[in-house]
This record gives sequence, structure tokens and C-alpha cells, in this order.
Amino acid sequence: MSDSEATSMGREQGQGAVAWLAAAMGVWLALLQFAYFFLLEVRLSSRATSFFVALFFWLAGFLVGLNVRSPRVFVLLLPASLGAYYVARQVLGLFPYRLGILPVVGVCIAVSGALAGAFFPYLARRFLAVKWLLFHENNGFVVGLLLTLFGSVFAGRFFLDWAPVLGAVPVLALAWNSRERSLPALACQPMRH
Amino acid sequence: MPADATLDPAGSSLLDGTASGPAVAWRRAGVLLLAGFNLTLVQFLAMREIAALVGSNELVVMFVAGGYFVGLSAGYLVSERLSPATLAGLGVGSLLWHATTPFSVRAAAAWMISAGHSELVPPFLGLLVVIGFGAFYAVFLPRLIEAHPDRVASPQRAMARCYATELVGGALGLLVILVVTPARMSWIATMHLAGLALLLGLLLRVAAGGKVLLAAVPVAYVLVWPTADRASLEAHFRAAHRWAESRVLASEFSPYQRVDIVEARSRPGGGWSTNLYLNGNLLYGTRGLHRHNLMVAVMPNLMRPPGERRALVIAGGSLDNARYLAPQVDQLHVVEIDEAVVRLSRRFLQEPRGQFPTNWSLVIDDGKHFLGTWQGEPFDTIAVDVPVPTHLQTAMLHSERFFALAKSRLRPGGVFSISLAGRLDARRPGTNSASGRLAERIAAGLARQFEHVTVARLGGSDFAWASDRPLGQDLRALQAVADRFVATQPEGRQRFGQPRLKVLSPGLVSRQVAQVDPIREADMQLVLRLSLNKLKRRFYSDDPHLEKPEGHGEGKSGHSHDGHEASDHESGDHDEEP
Repeated sequence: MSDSEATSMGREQGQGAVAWLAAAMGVWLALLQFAYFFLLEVRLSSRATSFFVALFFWLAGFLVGLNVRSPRVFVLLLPASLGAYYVARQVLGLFPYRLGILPVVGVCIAVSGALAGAFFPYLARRFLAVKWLLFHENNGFVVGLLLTLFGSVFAGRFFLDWAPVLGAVPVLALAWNSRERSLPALACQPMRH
Repeated sequence: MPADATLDPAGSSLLDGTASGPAVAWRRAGVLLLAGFNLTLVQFLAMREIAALVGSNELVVMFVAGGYFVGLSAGYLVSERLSPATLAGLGVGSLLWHATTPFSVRAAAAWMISAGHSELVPPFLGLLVVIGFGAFYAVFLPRLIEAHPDRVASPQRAMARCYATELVGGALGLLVILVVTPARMSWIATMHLAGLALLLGLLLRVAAGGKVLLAAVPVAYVLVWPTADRASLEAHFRAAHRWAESRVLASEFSPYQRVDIVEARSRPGGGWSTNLYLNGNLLYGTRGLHRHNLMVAVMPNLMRPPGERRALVIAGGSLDNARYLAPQVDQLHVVEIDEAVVRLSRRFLQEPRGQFPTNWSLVIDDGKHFLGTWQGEPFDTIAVDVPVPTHLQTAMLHSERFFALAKSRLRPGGVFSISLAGRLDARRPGTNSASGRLAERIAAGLARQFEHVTVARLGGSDFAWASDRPLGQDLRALQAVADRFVATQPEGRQRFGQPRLKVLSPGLVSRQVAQVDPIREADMQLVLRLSLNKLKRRFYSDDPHLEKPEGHGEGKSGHSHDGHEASDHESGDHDEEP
């Protein structure tokens, strides 16, 4: 097999699986964000301050995650992000309405935000055109919003409790399935006009 | 290719990989920064303004958010297919379009409603959100990642640097919103326009005259804003709420909602009323809403002996409860989450009436957080003055968990009071499911926490007074209390009419709540169902009572400034869920 054939095969193989991974990640991020939002509303306060603080931590985590270079860190962030949510949930359950624990919850939110940030560089080189990464992930986010809507209507509290776990399962499976083996680096062509 | 590509006709070399150099890099960073900045601002504008136009609730918020993100996907999809000339044209078109918002959107919605096509408003607004807000800005990130010099050698670095730049812009936008505050929406909208003009300046080859024109757009916008804002809002209120005439006395966005104080009358020559709208939902100004205050907050306190009147009112933002209760109780706390509601209500609803009491305390806080952290003396009464739960936030104040929290802050024998948002024994088609039986579910939650739940009815609505002890008052005594109160209030008859109370039998109450699940704190099903029903009523119903101003078909004369007669059954967020 020539290098170009291997490159071509790797590019096609990478696209399918990683496209689904991007979409699944978008779904999971939507579920996570809603779960955090709901957690803060119910267990802490409905005031705008707590919402903006949570948003700040998410953005900070996102920025940190964007600068993560090692793919291993992204892989570690997958379970860490899930764990962080349930830590936040437990902490808020033990100390409801205490604004003083917002920094602790904020760190948990930042871990999840870091996952979101680390995800994009992790997959950037697996897409021929980066717009598809953004497109699939964003579509997954929209699907996640719809799932949140219908899931909370039809499955109620069960959905809200288990949504972060449910969202993580396809991401973990697809991340494992689409992990790079010995594929050559994709040749990314500059855009033509 | 020169390193400085500023002479490039439409910034094409900026957006592809053919130009390089420090100047180009700075321009690309500037474009991303501004795209991120404007994405945050435009999302905020869409979520606030569009949602308020349809009477914001949880369902609307989710659909507006979803529409915004669908717009981003559309932008990503076509990002590399847009020629520089097309992109420039879209940019200029966006600038002109946003220079007319939100006024044009309000006017369009008002026209559709007036023309009898209210059903077109939600899809029209949905389409606007998809194509008219984030889609344009979403084009730049993928294009500039592809154009980044590191795209081939290190795609991760290209992605990280470009996305981080856009994200920093987004964070700056968030900071602007926090610092400027939603109250100055004109500034936020103007900054968005200015950001768009700057972005176009970076993209296009613009002569001096063009730069002046670009700069003139946001300047003209902020100057025109006060007049256009008021005129478009008044037109929208007249159409959406069927006022014959309306004057917007105040309109402000808080971190939570749009707060409008509207003076209006239902027919030319009729009496004016002053109304409070929150996100387009009527919350104050009708007889039904005055009676709501009477039953939820005033009566439970008047029933108690002097010396046992430490009162708490949650969500009493209109401050009518403060006016009525402060002279009657030993101590009064009013908790309201939205400072803007209190401030505008005090200025436009209370102070014009004069004699507003000062012997009460205001706490700006979330009601459950306040109760959860309250360390003071227990209360004799806790009244929850909230609308029908079409938001998660208000649904939680109708949950069994919240009732338990409130009970823990009551003195023995204290009374917890809340509207049942409907009639306990109403026959409604298709409401056999637990999510549809709102009044029963609220009452069921109360019954689980309190031994005695008295349900009093006034007009079309039921109100629950819950306690660990019997109320100790019969209907005659309650009626006498209500009559005495109304008689002693200025404009009492005009505001409250002649309230005729009824008390449901304990047996009926028990039967209605048997086998009914109370509202859980996470009851999104209920919230979304109520939100959907409200949308249907507002845009897809011929319900004659829908958002109807007072006096239609009543044949009564108008009254003074705040006098406003009404039918007993009227729409509005406080009224029953059909």
C-alpha cells in the first residue's frame, strides 16, 4: 500500500467515526450544561450571580482545555468530567443554598469546561476540513438540547439524574473506537477558491 | 503577495491561506475577537428580546437557544462556500438588519397579530433567530482555522489559537454585559453594531467615506433608540395585549427578564390602568391580580390575632403586599429576586398612589435561598406570590420540597399561603395526567407537609392556606375580614370589587388530592406542558379572555388612574391553567 493510499484510507476511516464522536460530544456537553444549570437552580440559588459565576468557570476551563496538547489529557478528562459533575451534585446536596461552596462547584464546572476545550484540538487533525468538526459538534449540541427537552418531559427526574452518565457512554465508546492506531497524519489541503 | 494585504478588495486573502505577515495575523485575530464578542452579545439580545416578544417561559427559552445554535451550524456549513463578495454583502446586510432591531421585529410581530395572523409570530421569530443572529459570525472561525499558517503542520495549534481568540472575544462580550448591565440594553445593542462595523472594517477595503458610514451606523442607532424603542413597544403592547391605547412608562431588562410598566386603556375614553409586565406577561393591574394579592398575602395575616403577625412575602415585587400588609402586621419581610421589578414598581405603581409605608424590609434574593439560610425568628405567615410555574424557578416554589422548607421556618400554628393557579375541582378535558392537574398537585404537596389545608375560592381561582393547626375561622368570619379590609382601602371597591369568598369542604379537598403526585423540584414536565399551553393560548387560540384588557364587554365606565374593573375570570400569569 502506498503512502497516499494509506493516507486516503485513514482520512476516510477517521471521518466517519470521528464525525459521530464530534456529534456525541456535542450531545453530552448539552446534557452536562443543562445538568449543571439545573443543579445550581435547585440546590444553590436561582440568582443570576450563580449563573454567571458558573459560566465564568466553564469558559475558564474551556480556555485551559484548548491549550492542552497531550491527547492523553483529553482521554483523562472524559471520566474526570463525569466525576466532577457528580462531585458537584454531592457537595450541593450536602450543603444546599450555601454560596460559599460555589468555588468548589466552580472547579467541577471548570473540569467539564476543560473537556470541551480539549476536545477540539484533539480532533482537529482528524478532519479534512475543520468546519465539519464544528458542524457535527454543534449539531450534536442542538440534539442534546432537544433530548433535554423531551427527556425531562417524558422521563422526568430520572433523566435529569442520569443524563450526564447517559451522555458519556456513547462518547467513551466512540472515543475508544476512533482512537488513533497507526494511521498516518492526514494531509490537510489549504482551501482553494 | 505583499505581506500587508490591507489593499485586498474584500479581505479574501485574509480568509484564505494566501496572505501572511504580522499585519494579516493581527487582522485575523481582530476578526475572530470581534466575531466572538458579537456572538455573545447577539445571543444575549436574541434570548432576551425574542423570548420576551412571545411571553418568555422555559419552552421559549429552549427554542430560542436551539434556534441560535442551529444558526451557528448553518454558518459553519456554508463557511467556505461564501465568496468574499458574498460575505461582504452578508456583512453589510447584517449591519443594516441589526440597525433596525429590535424595533422592526416588534413591529412585524405587532402587525401579524393585528392582521389576525398571530399563529405566524412564533415561526417567524424562530426563523429570524436561526438566520439573523449567530449564523453570520459562525462563518469566520472555520475559515480562519483553515487559513492559519499552522493548519498543516499543527492542526491542534491552529484550532487552539483561533478558538481561544474567539472565546476571549466571547468572554469580553460577557464582561460588557455584566458591567453595562442588561438595564442598558441600548448600549449593549449599540456595542454589537459597533463590533459589527469594526469587523466589516477589517474585512473590507474601506475608503475614508466608507469608514465614516460604518461608524455612523452605531452612532445613529443609539440616538434613535429611545424613540424607536418606545414606539415599537407601544405598538407591540397594543397589538399583543389588545389595548386601544398604551403608553410605556418604563421598560428595562434586568438579569432575569424584561420589566415593562405600561399605562393603557381598553377603549378610547376609558379609564387608564397601570400594568406591570414581566417578559411580556401581565403580572399586575387587573382586578384578578389585586384579588390574588388579597387572598395570598393579606387574608392569612388579617386572620391572625395581633402580636402574631410576623409576615414573609416571597416574590412580592409589585409591592402591593407591602402597602397592604405593613400597617397590619408586626413585622414584614418582602423577598424578591429582581431588583428592577421592585424599583420600577415603587416608582410607577406605588409612589403615584401616595402613602406608601416604610415599616417593612426588602431582601433581594431567591426565595428558597432566603428561606434555606434564614436564621431569624420563625414567621407567622409565609405567602408565596408567584405566577403559574412556566419556569423551573417558579415551579420549584410550588414543590413539596419547598413547602417542607417553608414549614420549617414557620411558628407552630403558622400559615403558609399560595395560589393553586386554578380551581381544585374544575373539569378540564384531557387533564387526567398528573402533569395537567396543577391545582391538585400543588394542594397534594401541601397536604403532605401540613395537617390542615384550607382552600378558599374567589372568582375563578383557589387559594390554599396550610398550617399544622386548624384555621379556626368559618366562612362568615373570613368574609367579614375581607369586607372590612376592602372597605378600609382607598379605591378598595375599584381594585377588589366585592369579593365573595367560598371555602371548599375538607372532604372535597382530600378527595381531589388523593392519589395525586405533588410537584417535585425537578418537574420540567409540568413546566414545559404549562409553557406549551400558554403559547397555544397566546398565539393559536380564539379564547376571548386571552390577554384581554379590562372592561371589554363589561359595559362599565372607566375609573381613575389605577382603577380598573374587570371580569373575575381573566388571563394573565396568575390565573388558572386551563
